[in-house]
Amino acid sequence: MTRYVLRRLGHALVVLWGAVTLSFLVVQLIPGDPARIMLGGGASGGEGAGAADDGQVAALRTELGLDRPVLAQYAAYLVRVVTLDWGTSFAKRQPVTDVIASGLESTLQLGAASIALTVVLGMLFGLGGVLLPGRWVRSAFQSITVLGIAVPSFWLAILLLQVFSFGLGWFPAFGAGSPAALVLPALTLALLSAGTLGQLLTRGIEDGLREPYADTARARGLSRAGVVLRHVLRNASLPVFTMVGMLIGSILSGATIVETIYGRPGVGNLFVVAVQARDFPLIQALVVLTGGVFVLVTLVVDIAYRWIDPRVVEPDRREGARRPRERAGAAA
Amino acid sequence: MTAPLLEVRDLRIEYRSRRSAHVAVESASLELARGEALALVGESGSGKSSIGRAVLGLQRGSTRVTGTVRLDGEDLLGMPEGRRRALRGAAIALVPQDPMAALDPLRRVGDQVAEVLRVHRLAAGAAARERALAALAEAGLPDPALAQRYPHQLSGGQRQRVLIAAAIVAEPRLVVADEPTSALDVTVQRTILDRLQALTAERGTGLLLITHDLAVAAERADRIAVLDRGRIVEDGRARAVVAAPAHASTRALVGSLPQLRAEPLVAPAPDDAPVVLRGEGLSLAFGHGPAATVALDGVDLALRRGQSLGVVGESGSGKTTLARVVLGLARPDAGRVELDGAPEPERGRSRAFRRRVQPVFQDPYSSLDPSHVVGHAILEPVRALARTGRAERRARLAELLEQVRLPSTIASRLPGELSGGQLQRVAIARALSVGPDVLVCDEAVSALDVTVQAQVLELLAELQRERGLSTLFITHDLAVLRLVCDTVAVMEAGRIVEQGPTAAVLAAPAHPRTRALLEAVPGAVAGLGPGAGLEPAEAAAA
Repeated sequence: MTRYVLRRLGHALVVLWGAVTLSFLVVQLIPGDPARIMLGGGASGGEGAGAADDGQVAALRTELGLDRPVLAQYAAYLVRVVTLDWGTSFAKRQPVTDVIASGLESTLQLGAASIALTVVLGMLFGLGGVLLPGRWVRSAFQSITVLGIAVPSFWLAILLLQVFSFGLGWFPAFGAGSPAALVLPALTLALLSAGTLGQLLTRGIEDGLREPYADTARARGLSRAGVVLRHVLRNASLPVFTMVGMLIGSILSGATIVETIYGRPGVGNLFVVAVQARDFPLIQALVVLTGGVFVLVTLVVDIAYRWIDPRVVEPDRREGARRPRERAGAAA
Repeated sequence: MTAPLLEVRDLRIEYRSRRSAHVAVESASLELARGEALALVGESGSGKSSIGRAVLGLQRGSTRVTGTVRLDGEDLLGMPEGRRRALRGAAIALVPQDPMAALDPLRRVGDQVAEVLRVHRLAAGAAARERALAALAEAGLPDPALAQRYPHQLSGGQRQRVLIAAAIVAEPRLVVADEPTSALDVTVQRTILDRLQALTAERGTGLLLITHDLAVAAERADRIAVLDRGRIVEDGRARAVVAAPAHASTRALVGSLPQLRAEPLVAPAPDDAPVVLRGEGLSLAFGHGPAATVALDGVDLALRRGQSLGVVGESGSGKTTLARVVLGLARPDAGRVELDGAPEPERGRSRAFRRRVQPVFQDPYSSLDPSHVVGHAILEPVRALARTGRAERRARLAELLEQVRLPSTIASRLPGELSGGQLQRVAIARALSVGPDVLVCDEAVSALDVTVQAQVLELLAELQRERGLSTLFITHDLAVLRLVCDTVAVMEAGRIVEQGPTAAVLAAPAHPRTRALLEAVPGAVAGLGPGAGLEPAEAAAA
């Protein structure tokens, strides 16, 4: 187990290093002069831009270290990443770490609430698709959950605002002050992924019901619902679990739209601000943060998977990992 | 006269799909008394499993079951589903077919045994656990630690015992055992059937044993009912049915049982034939440290041109691992595989190596991609390993189908539309497509009915005779071994413990493991099946 965790940790560090390198390249590969772009001129500079004079550009180049050789810049960048020294945000005139810290809490709340809602709704959708009485009712229910996948998030957000905020007045439309303000944005994010999750779960349960172990369970006297809840659901949840991990990562990008519409000051909102202001230090930090979240979540999912599914063995030999049956046979 | 335990009258089972309807069982009638064991025998597709499912009420929504099924006089087909469910597991229990897939992989086996009691509220908590442990012990798993394991941590035989424990724990009146041992090797099969028979006899439980194996039926059942294409064609005392089969289909079943005394289909390869494939000091262990299991422990083998080497042994003896090492699907920890004296390259197999050693696996259903037509599957190795043009490939396909005696029209059909025997021929054609020197058959006929099995074995023997193919034949079936293997190697715990000409080894086994394998062959007692014809003295010595 320890070996497995250590190796996974090693993988995670490699991926993280990739994300850091990518964020470095983002600035390097931009056509034109990053310093001039940041100062508001066009990529070409030229006479028409006129926004920044050459002195300012040169000063900024020195400040960003752009006048040094690429490898030296890269080394310095790595050191800054490790020491969490991201420099100053251009748009906010504050240290980047402070800017991100200010948005992080709001986004973490939104993320946690929407993941919890996604899982609950996804379970309801998935189980409803197989447990509701009557074939016709089940397939109608399944069709409705497909809508969740098909609808664009901004449209759903506006619809929810119209009904629950402006119409019924149950929840505030904007801001992040109260828990009530969290409901609509979290619901918007959750409804979108819960549809996918429910579909995946329904399909998994339907497949599971055709497995011999489900037949054995029925032969023991369990009802269809009993077979699903006691046996099939857990087996069908394995791929869903992996997907929840990926959802956590995508929530960050989903948050961009939702935070903008609901006017929440979160990390997603910072992305918009950073890109609009061509605030390279902030963009770099956000890219690494997103990558880091993905890496962390994947790591947790991988390690937890072993705990959920006892069949997952250490893949020290691909043989053993791929063919647990044969292994068990050999052990007997 | 009291009502029989189980009474089936004019049972008709029809499978309906949107496009067609298929009658699986027609006007079937059966009776089973308390404490009696009735075997339902027939080839696959004869409807025997359908009857078992109908008795349990496990048929799918699209299946129409009509007629009468009574348990102690109570009509099962007419009763509401709730009442039916109350009987399922408690009064009628199932020992299912495939021990590998019939247990929930994510739950401890002890919980799965106790579940029957919990569902029917016969016991709960510690009491249920106690009874589950007792049932496991009765089924032959006395170690309480095993109840804490997950299915994948048990062997096939142990899993089948778990399924038996789950079937008997609620003390049902009737046990339906659907091919309970077909996936197990003979020595395990024997102990499992002994246990099942003893448990049902002790408690006066009725046993409906569904099997394709007439030898097993004759040995284990009081009565045998033979099914042929959905109809019961013969029903009588077990001995009488096998001694004097009245119906043509029963005679066919009796006749096609491979016998240990049957003439071998192959002649031994000449001693001076060159060695095609050699394995030296092959060792392989799974896992690390004290938990490691040794699958292969210094195995040497040599296969000459035209030779057929059979590898026998219990499950877990390392047979399949040996096949995988020879095929290059597993890398040995030590030792090496040579082809014509040239060692296998250090960094994995070359294409030439792969082309010359080709596999035929046990289960043709799962080793063929269900979405590709058969012709595509057969030529897959050709596309992967050889450079040929379109026209050339088409000609090759026709030639291959001819070789395995399949009609050329089959090439455009999907695997799902073919029978098991046809599929295994397809798998053999696929292996032959790149012109290999060595065929590695891993239990290649174990999943087939006896009559089909005989035909596939005949084909393999023919290929060996006519094309000088060398075969490494992994099997648990000594009768099959005798038919197609001129040499045998007996494995135990990753080692070859006895090796020699097949006829000589079977006639005078030197190692205790070989003797145990011979003893476990079903049918010796009933006077038919693979064990039939062994002299009593020989059987005792064996």
